[in-house]
Amino acid sequence: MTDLPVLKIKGLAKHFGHIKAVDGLNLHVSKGEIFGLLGHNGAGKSTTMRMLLSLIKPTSGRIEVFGSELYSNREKILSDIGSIIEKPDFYPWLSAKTNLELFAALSRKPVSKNRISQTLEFVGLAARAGDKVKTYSHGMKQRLGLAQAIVHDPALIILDEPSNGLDPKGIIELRELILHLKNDLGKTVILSSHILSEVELIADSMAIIHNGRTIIEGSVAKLLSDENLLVRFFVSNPAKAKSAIESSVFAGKLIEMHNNELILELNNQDTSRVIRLLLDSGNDLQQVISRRRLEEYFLKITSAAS
Amino acid sequence: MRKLIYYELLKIATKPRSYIGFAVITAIVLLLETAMYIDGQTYIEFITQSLEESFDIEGKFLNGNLMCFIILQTLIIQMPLLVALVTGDTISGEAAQGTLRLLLTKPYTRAQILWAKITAGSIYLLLLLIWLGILALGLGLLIFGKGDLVVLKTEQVIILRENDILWRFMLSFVIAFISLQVVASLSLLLSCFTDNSIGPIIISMAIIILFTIIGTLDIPLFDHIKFFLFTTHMIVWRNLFDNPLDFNLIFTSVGILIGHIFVFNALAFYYFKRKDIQS
Amino acid sequence: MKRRIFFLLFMIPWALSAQNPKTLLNNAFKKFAKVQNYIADVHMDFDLPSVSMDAVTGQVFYKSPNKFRIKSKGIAFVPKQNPYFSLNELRDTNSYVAVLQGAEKIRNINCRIINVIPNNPTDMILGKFWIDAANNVILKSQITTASNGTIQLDNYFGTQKNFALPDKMVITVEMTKFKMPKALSAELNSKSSKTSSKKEKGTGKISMDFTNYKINTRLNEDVFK
Repeated sequence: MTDLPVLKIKGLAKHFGHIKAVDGLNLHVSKGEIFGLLGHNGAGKSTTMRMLLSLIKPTSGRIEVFGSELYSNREKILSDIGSIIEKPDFYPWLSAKTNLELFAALSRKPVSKNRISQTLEFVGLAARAGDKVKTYSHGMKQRLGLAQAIVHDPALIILDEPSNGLDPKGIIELRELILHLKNDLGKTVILSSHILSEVELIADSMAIIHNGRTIIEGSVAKLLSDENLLVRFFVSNPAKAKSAIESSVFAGKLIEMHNNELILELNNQDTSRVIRLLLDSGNDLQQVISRRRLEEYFLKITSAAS
Repeated sequence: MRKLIYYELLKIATKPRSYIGFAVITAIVLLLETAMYIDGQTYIEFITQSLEESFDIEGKFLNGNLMCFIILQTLIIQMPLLVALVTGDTISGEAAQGTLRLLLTKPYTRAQILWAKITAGSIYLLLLLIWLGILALGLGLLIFGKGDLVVLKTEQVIILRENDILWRFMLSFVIAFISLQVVASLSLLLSCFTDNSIGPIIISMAIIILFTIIGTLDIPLFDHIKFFLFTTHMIVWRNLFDNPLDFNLIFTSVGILIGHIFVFNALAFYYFKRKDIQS
Repeated sequence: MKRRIFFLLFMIPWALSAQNPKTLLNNAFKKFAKVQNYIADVHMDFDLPSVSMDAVTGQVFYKSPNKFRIKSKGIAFVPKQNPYFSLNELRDTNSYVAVLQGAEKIRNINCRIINVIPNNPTDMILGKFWIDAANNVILKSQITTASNGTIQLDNYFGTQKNFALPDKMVITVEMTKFKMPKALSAELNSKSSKTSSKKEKGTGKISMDFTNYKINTRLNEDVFK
């Protein structure tokens, strides 16, 4: 992973009439990283992804891919991008192999028959390559979608909600494939999701978008570190618990209190110390829930949206 | 670009729907030829009875050339549907099935993609007409033999000599191609506006039926608009069988048809280039 | 003077008999009756209302008394009757009444006009013949038939004048103008004529130029089938 930007988005906006699907979005994706675009349904992820592939024309803003402005170098840039948008759809009456040959041929990059077979092997579809796509399960189509996205050896792979509709086994396999693309083949991958844990498990950097705007952007390691937890203590005697905390070194860490619940901003180590403090103050601890601050924040915007 | 056209043709060739047109044409032609083979003489006698009041008719009315003419006349009503069935599906069908967004992420301009689809649609149309020609004229001549062509108009009978017919058929197939290209362009344009596969086909047919009704009714109000309807000019191929030929009328109609193709395609290009792919 | 009297005595009966309409008709018939059969090439031109048709060539076959057939190299409209059918009506001089109506010049040739009324009409109800008495040929005839209205025949004689066979014949007939429902013609956009329900009549002409006459030759009867 280098700091060389593969993608730079500045002030990107897309308005459908009075609806602002994307509203001044800024992003920065470095070469060789997996970048997670996180947001609840309707946050503007898909619209953003479609704009990156010139499926949707932005109302305003600038998209630079591989250092060039997308719309003035569209064909050159697109030849080095592989993508799955929304769900992997193919010509159902054609075989997987013919579908792959068709899209490979349209990539404007030389793709040998051998490469097509290897790609089908890579995604685990070699045995059923000759079958018509209409006989495929969703998981198989998703794998074929991935094969289609990588068959022409693109530098950038854009995957929109790639784990949608997959069973747990399929999700794990997909995750491994994506990691392989990054780790072994040096590809840059941008993926969108509405599931934080999915991004956390795979991405190097991430951005949360909400109402078409970038809310948070940064490295996953930093954004989701254990240094920044929100811990909720459910106690039998809240008044006693509050006075115990206020008279300790954790006085400044108390964020909120209602009913029998106290919310403190702590790290992992301090959480154990607060538990001991509360127990010593004669409180019964009914429940302790610890969440990372970003997770808490994401949950809030997600629940607000739903 | 050739690659794009090749794969558009591959899609058409591998899609079962594309063969409906060929099957329908084959069925209609075989049906008509069988019926005329069995009972053609009765049909001919029925339509020539007023002539036979005054004359004996020497020579064979029922021959391959007449069969081809009757088939062309019959199929000109069905052909637009068969064409729209394929061309109306080109964009919207892909949008409905989700492959359009994949196709448009490939490094070709939208104009190139649309152009490839138009070209592939035209090649399909051409093949459909060649098939019609082989069946209608080829099989007709084989079964019914050669002979002069009797063109029966509402108030006139035109008899064209055998050596004066083939070029007329060739040109009428060219005009039929241009006419059906109008339908193809219209359905392709409608196909750009929607993400549902059947809509453009139905709307194309509805437009053709409506225009044909307006063209058929002798209502003075409609007389002023008939000239501007493409359906009025789609049957200009029949004027190639007039004697003498009214080239002015033929060229005007062909010009209007080509104008329609140009306008429909220009609108399709304009809209498709700007279309946001949200399907 | 004697010579003049002799000439008059000799010529008057001849002249009187020559002016007799039946004799004139019979002479014309006798000339034609020399023809047992013939084959000729024919070139036909058509000028028919509501019919557009280029010229066509073919062969014409005739066998006395009334077999007639045109075989064309293409579609042709040919008269329903044998064009010589009226001559055959003159075969028996007792079967009709002939009335000399007058004289008229046709193509600068003096003709006698004779009306013929058959005693027992079959198809011909009335016949009117313009006879070139000098050559015993009928230059023009106008036949009113029960089946096909009035038919006019104009004969132009040349090479086969001795057999009363014309080089050119123009047949003029009355005919109903052709009309067909829009649905059958599939002329969906054509404008219907306002009188479409009426059977309009018109006059049609068929010109036949005959060449390569082969008269009284061997003729296969099959051609008339």
